[in-house]
Amino acid sequence: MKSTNKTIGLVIPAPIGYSETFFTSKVKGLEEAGFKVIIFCARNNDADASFKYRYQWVLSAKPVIRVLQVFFGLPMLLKCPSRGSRYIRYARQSGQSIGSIIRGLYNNGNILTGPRLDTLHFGFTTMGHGREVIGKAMNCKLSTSFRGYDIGVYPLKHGLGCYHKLWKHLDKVHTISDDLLEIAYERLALPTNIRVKKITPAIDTKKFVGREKRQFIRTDKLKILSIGRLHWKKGHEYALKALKELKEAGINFQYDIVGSGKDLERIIFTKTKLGLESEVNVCEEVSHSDVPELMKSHDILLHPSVQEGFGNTVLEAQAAGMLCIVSDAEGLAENVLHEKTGWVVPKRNSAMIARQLLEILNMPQDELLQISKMAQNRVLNQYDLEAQKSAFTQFFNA
Amino acid sequence: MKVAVYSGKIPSTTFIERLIEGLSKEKELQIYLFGRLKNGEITYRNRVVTKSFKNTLGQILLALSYRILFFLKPNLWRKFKTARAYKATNLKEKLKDWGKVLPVVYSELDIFHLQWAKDLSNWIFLEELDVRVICSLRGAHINYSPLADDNLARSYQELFVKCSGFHAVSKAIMTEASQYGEIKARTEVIYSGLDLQKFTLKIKPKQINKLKIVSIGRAHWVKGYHYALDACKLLKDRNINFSYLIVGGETEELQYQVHDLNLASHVNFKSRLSISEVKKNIGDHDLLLLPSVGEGIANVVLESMALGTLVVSTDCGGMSEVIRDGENGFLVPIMNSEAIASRLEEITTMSEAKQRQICTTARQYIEQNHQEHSMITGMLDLYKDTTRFTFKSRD
Repeated sequence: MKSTNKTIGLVIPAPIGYSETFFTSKVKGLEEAGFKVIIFCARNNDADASFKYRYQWVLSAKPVIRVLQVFFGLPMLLKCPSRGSRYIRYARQSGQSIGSIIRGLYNNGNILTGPRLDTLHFGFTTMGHGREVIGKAMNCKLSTSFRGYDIGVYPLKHGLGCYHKLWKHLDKVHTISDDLLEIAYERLALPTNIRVKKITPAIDTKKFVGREKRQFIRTDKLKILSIGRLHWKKGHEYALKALKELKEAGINFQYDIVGSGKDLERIIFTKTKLGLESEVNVCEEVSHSDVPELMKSHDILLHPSVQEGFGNTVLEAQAAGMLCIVSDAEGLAENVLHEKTGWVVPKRNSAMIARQLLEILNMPQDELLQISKMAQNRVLNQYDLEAQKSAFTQFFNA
Repeated sequence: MKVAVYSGKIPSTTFIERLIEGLSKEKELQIYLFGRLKNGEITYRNRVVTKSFKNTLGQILLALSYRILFFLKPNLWRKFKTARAYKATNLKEKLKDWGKVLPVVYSELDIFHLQWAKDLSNWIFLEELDVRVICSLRGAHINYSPLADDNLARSYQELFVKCSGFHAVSKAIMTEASQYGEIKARTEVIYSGLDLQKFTLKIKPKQINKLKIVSIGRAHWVKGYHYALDACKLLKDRNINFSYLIVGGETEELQYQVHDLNLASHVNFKSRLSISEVKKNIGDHDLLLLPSVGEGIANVVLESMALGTLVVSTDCGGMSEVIRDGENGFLVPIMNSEAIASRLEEITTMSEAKQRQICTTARQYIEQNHQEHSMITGMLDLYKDTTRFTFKSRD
C-alpha cells in the first residue's frame, strides 16, 4: 500500500548491519508504505547495501587537518544557503558559540547538503546531541525514538538536563515502552505538549511460530537459554548466580548464553568461579537465522537484564513458544505479563530467579502449555511487524 | 647485575614503582626502565637508568639511533636478528617495535623482569640472547584473561616453559598459573612489601553515628563494586547509617546502579588519587571494603592494615593468605552482597575494644610479613637463583 511520497531522514550512529533486524524491518516497512528513507550515519564497512546512506562529515582531531576540512568543506554549504543561514540563526538563538556553530555546520554537512526532508528522525535520542536546531534549519519536522539506554542510562552520565535543548525543537516522540516515557517525563523534564506515540518493537512472527511444544521441562535435563550482548546491562551474572543455586538444589540443567560483547571475560570468569563450567556454555557466534531453531531446542528463556528498553528477544522467544522468565527492568514488565504469559522477577535478584525456576519445574505441564500459548497469542496479535509498519506510517504522516 | 623492571610505561603502577624504589637501594643492582614516558614527573635514584620515548615519533627516532649504535655490536645484532623473527610487518610497525626492543637488547641485561604476563610473547626471545626472563604473575593476566581467550591460554602453555623464572604475588596466583605449565620449581612467592615508615598506625575511635566505608581501586568489573552497591542497598533497607566512597572512577554501570537503587545520598565516587591522597582517604574512613571477585593480593588492603583501618575483603585470589577472618580483618565469600552487608552490619555493633584489637593485630601482621625489605630480599633471591649470580650481603 503506497500512500505517500514523503522523505524521512533517519539519524543513527552507524549503517544498518545485516543482522540488525529492528532497523531493517522499520526502514523496509516505511519504504513499502511509500516513504523515501535516507540514513545519516558514520561510515563503516558493515552496511546493508540495500539502503540509501549519507555519511557523516567527521572533523579530524588534528588541528591543521581540521582547519583544512572546515576551509574546503563549509563552502559546500553554499549550495543550500537558506539551510545554512537558518542553522546559524537558530544556533545563535540557542546561545551557541561561533566555534560550536562552525563545528555543528560541518558535522551536520551530510544532512544540510542532502535532499529535502519532511521529517528528520533520531533513531536514538542521543543522536540529537549537536543536532538540536537541525530540524529548523532543514525546515522539517523533528522527531526521536526513546529506546532504553538513551533515556535510562545516558542522562545519568551526561546530566539530567542533557536533552533540554532538544526538547525545545522536537515535534514528536516515539517510545518503545510506557516505562521509558515515564522516566522522560519525571526525570528528564520532557514537556507534556510534545506529541508522543508508543510503538513497541515487533518481530517477524512467521520465523518463530512452528512446532508446538507438547512437553516443556525435559525430565532428564532442563535447557535454559539467554540471548543478548555480553554487557553489564544484560545482568548475566545474576542469572549465573541463580543457576549455581539450582545446581546446589541438585537440578540437572544446561544453560546456554548466546551473544558476544566486551564482557566475555567477565561472564567466563563468573561461570568458572561459580563452578558451572560443565553446565554453562557461552556461544559467541550464532547468526540471527539460527535463533528460531535454538529457541525450539530450549525450554526456558531467561532474560535477567538490569536495564532494557523492551527486549525483542523475549518477543521472539514467546512467539517460538518458550517459557520466559524476565527481570522487571524497564520495558520487560510490559513485554511479559507476570504469571500470565511468563514470569517477571525483580532485577538484580538471583534468589528470585532461582526460586522461579524451581517453581516452574514443579508446575503441571498443562499449566505451562497454557502460559506458553497465551504468550504466543499475545505476541502474534500485538507485536507483529505488520501492525508496527502501520503504526510507523501513522507516526510519520502525522 | 643489570636488571630491567619492565611494564612498558614509566612511571608504572604504584606497586611496581614501589618495587623499583626498593630495588634501586641495592648497590649490586643497576636498574633499567624502558618504555613510554607517561605524563607526570618522577625522579629515580642514580642506579636507575631510563631509556624511554614520549610518542610514536620519539619511538621511531629511538629505533633509528639504536640501529646505528648496533654497528658497534655487530655480533649482538646478528644474534638479535636470529632470535627476533619478524613476520611480514610494515616498516612503521617494525620501527616501532625496534624502538621498544633495541634499547633492551643493546643494554645486554642479566635479568629482564616482565611485569605483565600477556607481554611474554614479545619478550621471550631475550632468552636466546642470554638474558634471563622473569615474569611476574599478577591479577587479570592470570586470573581471568586466559579463561576467555584460548589463544592467550595456548601462548602461556607454550611460553611458560621457556621462561627462566616467575614471581608470584600470592600462592593462589601461582596455583592458578600452574594450569598453563609446571612452573612451581621456577617460581618464588614474594609478597608485596611496604616501607612502614611511611605508614603511621592511627587507630580511630569508633564512630557511633555513621559507618564510613571506602573502596579503592580502578573502576573495573573485577573489583566487584556492583556487588558492593547491592550490599549498600541491603544496608539502607536495614536502616544502617553509612556512607560509601569509591575511589578509582565512576563507570556508566555503577552510575546507573546507584541511581536505580536510590543510593545517591549514600554513595560517592572519586577519580584516581595520588598515593598520599589514597592514604588520607583510608585514614578518613572507618573501614576499607574490598569487594573484588579476583585479585592477586590487593595492596590497598595491606596499606589499610598498616594504617589501622579495619578491612572487610572478599575471599578472592590470595586475600586469605593475608586476612585471618575475625583476627586481623574480615573475609566474606566473593559475589555475595548479602554476606558483605551482614558483615558490615555486624561491625556496626562490634565493641570499640574488639575493633582496636583487630587493627593492632593487622598492623603487627603487616610488620611481620609485608615489609619492603622482605620483598626486596625475596626478589634478589629470585634473581640470584635464576642467574646463579652471587650477591654481596646487604649494606
